[in-house]
Amino acid sequence: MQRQHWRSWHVGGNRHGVAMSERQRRRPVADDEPLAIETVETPLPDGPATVDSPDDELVHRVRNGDTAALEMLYSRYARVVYSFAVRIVGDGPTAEEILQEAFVRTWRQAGTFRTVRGNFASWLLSITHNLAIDELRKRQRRPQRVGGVDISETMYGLVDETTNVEEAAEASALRERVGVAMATLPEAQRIAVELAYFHGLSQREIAAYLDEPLGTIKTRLRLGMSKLKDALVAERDDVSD
Amino acid sequence: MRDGLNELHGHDNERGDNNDDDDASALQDGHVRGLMAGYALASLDPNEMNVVATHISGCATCRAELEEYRVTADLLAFAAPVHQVPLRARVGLLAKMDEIGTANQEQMIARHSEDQDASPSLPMNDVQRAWLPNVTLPTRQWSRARVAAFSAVPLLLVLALVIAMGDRISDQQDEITTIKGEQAETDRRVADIEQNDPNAVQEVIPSSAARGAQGKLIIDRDTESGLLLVVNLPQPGDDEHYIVWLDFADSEEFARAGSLTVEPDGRAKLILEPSGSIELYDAVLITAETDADVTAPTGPELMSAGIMPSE
Repeated sequence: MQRQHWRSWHVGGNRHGVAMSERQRRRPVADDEPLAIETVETPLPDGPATVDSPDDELVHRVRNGDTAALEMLYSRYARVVYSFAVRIVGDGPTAEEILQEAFVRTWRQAGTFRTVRGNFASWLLSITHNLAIDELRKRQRRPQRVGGVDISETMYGLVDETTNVEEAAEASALRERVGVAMATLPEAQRIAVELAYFHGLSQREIAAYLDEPLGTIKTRLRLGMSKLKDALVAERDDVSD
Repeated sequence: MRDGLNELHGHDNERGDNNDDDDASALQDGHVRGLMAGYALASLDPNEMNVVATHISGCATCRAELEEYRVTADLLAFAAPVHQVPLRARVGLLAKMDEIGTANQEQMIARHSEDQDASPSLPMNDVQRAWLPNVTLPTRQWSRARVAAFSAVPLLLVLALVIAMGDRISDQQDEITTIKGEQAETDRRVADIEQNDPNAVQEVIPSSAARGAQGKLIIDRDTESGLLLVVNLPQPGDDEHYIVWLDFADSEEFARAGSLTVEPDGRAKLILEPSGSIELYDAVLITAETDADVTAPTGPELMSAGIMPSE
């Protein structure tokens, strides 16, 4: 087993006593890569958070124990998180649990989020993805409940309109962009990408599920993701320019 | 779904039927571009994950490209069809927050009073917070004489506490009060360790195979032992075992430190007690193995942390 590849990951670790952003943690760091850790956090403005407060400020406030700031983040991202969870686990009640747990973890772990690289939405959706895929794996290991009527749904199926009104503008814009990009993929590639991402399947599992050669699945995933990358990342760069 | 998919196959012009494993093309030109999409989606086989991880550690070009694939993978969440959020989800969250928030405020007050003598204090970090109230580090000094108590009895007590408390935590105020006191001691002990030796507390870095996992490695040089705490760790598969390794600093060998049991909520912990000084090692590694009794790491890395010498 090679050693240097994982040893190098923590080169950027905690030498400065500074927590790393979620994206930095996930991303392997090479020995020759300069450390890019910011230690200075913008002071909070006076007064309470407002609907115009940026995500970073709200996360900062959450870190300080501000539940109102957490609720604002919830209003902005609950629909994205809930929809994402429903897409993976396939049922509303479980998605609700995942939604709540994702924000509970936001509350508990806001201290680990830094604005260096990554953004809050990415961080939150990464947590959601892990929770939902874990749920899928648990289901594979335990008997499934017989489907039935969700009594609480029947009792009060009220929609949280706040999450519709206050959803982050960038969320709806991203939804449209990603939807367009996905729609441009050949269906076989799109399905392969969706099975990997939304179902947590490995390439080998996808090949078995579709009864296709492994090489075919690898090719589809590679081509599909490459096209999505070109469409989404290039567009992002265009916007930022 | 299968029927629909089968129809598609006949129209697919991107088949790799004659090449069941196209690693050869993936490694063209000495790079791993062909594996990056699968790596970003965490859908590769373990050996392929290793190939990519090894390559990108020394290839800035591939590293940059991989980052773009990761951004792309993150954005896929927005491809989910929109669903209306039930109002009761917010109500449920606020109820949970009310419980958690109240408890955290009390802990902060307790910690503040405990830390008045230890300036600068170490804010309770996410790992410690996530482990509340289930983990109790040894308090006061981790002297050699306390190693046994540190390793055995408290661990059993903690495990017993974990089992006993379960979902009843919110109903057992006395226990919570006790645990909060222990946590304050834990915070202070960790603060002492880090204040005296900033290198003693290290982040445990996840690989793509453990996205979202976080952890701390706390080294006590007095006892030449350590404590590994992890949260958000995915559950191992049916035939998987998470094994912790210590990497010898002066050789290519590893010492097995133990197996890691993941709690249902993704937490895991392990006390590291190497036979010699812990400073013989320069890193800790968690791997996923199919053989529970494996004597050297062969599976994919999940997380790793450096063991830094004291400053």
